[in-house]
Amino acid sequence: MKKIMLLIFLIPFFRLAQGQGLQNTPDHQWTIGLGYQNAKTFDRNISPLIYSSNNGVLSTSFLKNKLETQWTLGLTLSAGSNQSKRHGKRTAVIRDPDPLFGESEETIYEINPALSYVDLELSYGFQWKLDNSFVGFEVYDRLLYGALGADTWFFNQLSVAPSYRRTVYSNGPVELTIEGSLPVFSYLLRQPYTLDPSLPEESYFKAYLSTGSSVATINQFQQVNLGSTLTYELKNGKNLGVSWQFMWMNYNNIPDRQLRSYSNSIIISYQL
Amino acid sequence: MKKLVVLLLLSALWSCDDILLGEESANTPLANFESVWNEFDAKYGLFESKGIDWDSVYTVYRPQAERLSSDAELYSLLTEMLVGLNDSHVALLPTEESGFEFFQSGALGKLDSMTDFSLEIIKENYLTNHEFADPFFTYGILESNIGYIHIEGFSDLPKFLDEPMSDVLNALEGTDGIIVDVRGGYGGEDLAGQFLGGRFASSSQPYMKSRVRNGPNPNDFTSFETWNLIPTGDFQYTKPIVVLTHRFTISARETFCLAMKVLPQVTFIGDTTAGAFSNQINREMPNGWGYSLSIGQWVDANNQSYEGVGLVPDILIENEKEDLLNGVDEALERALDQLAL
Repeated sequence: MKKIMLLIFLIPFFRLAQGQGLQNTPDHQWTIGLGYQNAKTFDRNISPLIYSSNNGVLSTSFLKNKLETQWTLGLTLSAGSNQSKRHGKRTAVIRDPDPLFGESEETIYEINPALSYVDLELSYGFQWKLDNSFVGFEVYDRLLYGALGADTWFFNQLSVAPSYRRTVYSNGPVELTIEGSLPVFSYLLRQPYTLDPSLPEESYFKAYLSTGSSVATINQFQQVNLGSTLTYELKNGKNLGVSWQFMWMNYNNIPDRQLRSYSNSIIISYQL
Repeated sequence: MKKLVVLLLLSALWSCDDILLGEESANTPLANFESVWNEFDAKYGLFESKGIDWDSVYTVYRPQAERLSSDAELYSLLTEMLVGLNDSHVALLPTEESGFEFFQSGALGKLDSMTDFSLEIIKENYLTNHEFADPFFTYGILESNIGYIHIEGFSDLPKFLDEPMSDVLNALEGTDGIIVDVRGGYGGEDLAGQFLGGRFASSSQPYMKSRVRNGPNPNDFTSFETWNLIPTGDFQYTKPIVVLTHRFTISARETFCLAMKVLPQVTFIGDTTAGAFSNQINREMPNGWGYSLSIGQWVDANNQSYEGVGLVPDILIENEKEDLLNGVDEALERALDQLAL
């Protein structure tokens, strides 16, 4: 029922785009961005707790316009601290009551003390101009690497997704666009945690790659990427933008232990 | 209307965790009990080895869990349940604010502090000089031209151990025997022990098998992986060796001992090891407490399991705290005698 409610929410968002025009864009452009991301992760195979991270975001992208097509190359890095939403920062103590020499000692363990969440995405998109919008596809690799509880956790996806973008408002120097993509085919790496990470390779990543990766289509892995960007053309001809990016995903390769995550990002960007 | 829809949408996408992620487990004593029991039921790898019927454990403790009304009662029930696993890889780590003590099952749970070993005493009273090879190796020469290596940890992969271990063995190549001391410290990577053991092996041979839980039934496992001891490094030290162990020798230290056990020139002296060979994973409860559990079966090449038992040394020497306070390491002295024979 909740999934249905979510889809109902999404439908009007796409419908907003109907009947709007396009703004002219330069032949090519570099853009850099700085922003904030809140990400929440609930991996039931690892923890009964939802984790929340507040991250700084750095992004850069290159866009190339042609007559009927355009392609983009983007790199986004988000990093911050990952803590249980319910408990926040936690500490635990192990005491050594009677050491051989000296007084009793304490070792204090702090869960996820500092940098404990990284979201790194490399993407390539190709789109065709179609009436008043752009339709195409994205290929992107997204690595989520962080700490859940006292363990390292990561998830990697290499996905192919149909994409859509449209300008929904344009008036002089101001333009508002929306975009979305839905991956239909993905190569996913979710660390299994029931397999020995030290086998059979001398690398955790290689071991997980061989034991925790699989190909998934939309019946097993659902993801929604949405975004909206408000752009203002400055007097020097460069664009200043504010964008919102949303991602939600559900991966159910382990029965009753699905991985769900979503993130919201606000990024201020400047065209170089 | 459109603006309202957008606002509703943004609000939902920013804050509706229940819709977007699902609900967290409740934070009640019963829900915490269920969370721990279920995770062990799904992932624990030693029910079969230890002959434990986990469903029966549930039958005993679930009714008690229904009556729990405080964290103190929950802590008491969980520790009582987990102590029955007799597994030093099973531990409960309450948050500091709860005020409850770290709990450990198995042999280590019966011990308080490590009072039967001190590297400082060996440095001061036995080694004429000593060096340290980063990251783990304290080494030097004892009386009667016997070498000494203390391995502090096994938490690095072989590629980081090759050079320092070569430095150690190059320095000790001319000795008449070596004491390899794996007392103190902590566990780490089985691969590290496999590599280090290879510096003492003249030929390849199997020494261990491992497999992990991969299904809902207690006997659902991957197929066994065989671990072979393979000669490593520029040369292999094949003169007599004594390996020193004690009750705190656990996990990757023990699998290193399994590797050394197949070598004909090795004698074990000291106390029985902890008896926790399997890999472990860390988990947490809805109330934020942490815990750990073993995820598989680690056995020797003949399928013999030492989980909950430990490796009994060839010569059993239990160091006394009073001796150490007087600067005497009896197990080390017995090892020197053994190598002087």
